[in-house]
Amino acid sequence: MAEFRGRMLVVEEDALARRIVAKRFARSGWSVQVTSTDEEALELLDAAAGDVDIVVTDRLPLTFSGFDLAKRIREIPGPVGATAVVVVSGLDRPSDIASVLAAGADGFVSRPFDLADLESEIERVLKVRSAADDGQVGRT
Amino acid sequence: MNYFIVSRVVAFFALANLALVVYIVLRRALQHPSDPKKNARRAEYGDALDEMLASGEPPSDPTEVLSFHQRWEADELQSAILDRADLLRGSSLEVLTGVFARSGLFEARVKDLGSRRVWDRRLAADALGRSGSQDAVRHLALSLRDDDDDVRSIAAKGLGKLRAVSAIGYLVSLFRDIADRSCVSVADTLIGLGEDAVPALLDAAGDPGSSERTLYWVLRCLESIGDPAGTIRAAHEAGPHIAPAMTHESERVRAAAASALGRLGAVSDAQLLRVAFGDPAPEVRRQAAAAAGRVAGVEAVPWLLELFGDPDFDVSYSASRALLSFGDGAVDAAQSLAGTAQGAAYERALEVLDAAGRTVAL
Repeated sequence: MAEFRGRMLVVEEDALARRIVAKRFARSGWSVQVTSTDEEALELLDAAAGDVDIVVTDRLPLTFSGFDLAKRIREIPGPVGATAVVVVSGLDRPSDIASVLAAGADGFVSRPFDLADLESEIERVLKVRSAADDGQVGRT
Repeated sequence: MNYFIVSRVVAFFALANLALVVYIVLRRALQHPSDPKKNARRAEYGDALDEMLASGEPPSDPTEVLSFHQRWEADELQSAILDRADLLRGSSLEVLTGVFARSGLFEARVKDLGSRRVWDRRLAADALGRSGSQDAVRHLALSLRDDDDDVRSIAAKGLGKLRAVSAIGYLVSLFRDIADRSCVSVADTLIGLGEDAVPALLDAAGDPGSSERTLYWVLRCLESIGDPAGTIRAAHEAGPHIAPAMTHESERVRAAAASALGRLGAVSDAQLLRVAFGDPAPEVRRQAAAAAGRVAGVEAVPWLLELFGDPDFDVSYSASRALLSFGDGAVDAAQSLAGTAQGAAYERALEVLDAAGRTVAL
């Protein structure tokens, strides 16, 4: 049994991709919740009240009149709004990546994806987050 | 006695027919089971594959968990593998590629490429292209010579998906002898290969032996790939390769050449566009004007101003849009023109001034 790594929310419209990602990360110690819509994702994040460590989402044409899930999460006050977000997208031109990161995402993986790359990106994002948190603690 | 024999013969044929019907029904039931049975089998295969993907490696003998006895089971396994292969790459895709090969499906599809049934060949080409296996490249490259147009275009798509740089030469040569609708998928594949395809495309563009159709499609590919960041090394040599096509007898080739030059060429290629400004075909002049706005230096400003008076509206309009890309100096030139020109040239000059936000004293 793998060591507990944290709580992950996978927001992915494609059922197969959702399932593959969830299975991989559940096996490596993550507690994984899945959903196919941004609306439900926001409800789940709200219910978890900041207890979700990372959101992995695909970037789809958007149910929010052009806004990404990452942007919506950042608009939520408190710990939910600070949840780490990694976006998986087939739109991988530099301008697309820049717009995703500008919307508040912490990491990006292009699609089709390698599960190992996704894992590395999640680790990188969490490490950066952790270092930033340590820095803040150190300053206060 | 006769009645007895006849009745026996009739009974024999009736029973034989019944047996045949039972055989056909049973065979069909075995080969084409109900959807729930198929779905259940596919789900089993899916679970096993997802487990392999989660662990990051396939078992040494995947057939232990992915066995199949019937053709329909092999089809379900193949679908389960390929649906996942469409989503993944890198080490995750390698897991699936390994299963595809070790379960015998790769070999079976390669065999199908030689089938007499065209649908078998089409499905095989599709499966091999999606399999992620680089071993499929040489087989798909051979299928580019298939009698069937669809097999060829499916094989071309598959090679693009496999990023098969080694097959670029074959793909370019296909333009010579396939139908136009198949040229679209071959072109899509080459465009998808991007920078890697540029040297072979430029070679074909500059080859005097290239057919009209090859030239047209090759130039369209170059135009679509383009070099907006100026980072494609081979593009620095684009001008001399594209130049012969600028004077080709085919109008569509000349227009495509001007457009390709605009997307891929360098400032030093501007003189080539100058020739196209005097082309008898409006579409060529229009493309040349647009191209000048992208690659030419300020020397193109007077050429574009000349086109303001072109009898074809699309040409003069394209020239006025292109002129705006040359900044204030070009707008000054348009202002001077507005003071002397008449007709279409005068109207275009006013439009330029309006677009540049200058007031015009009438």
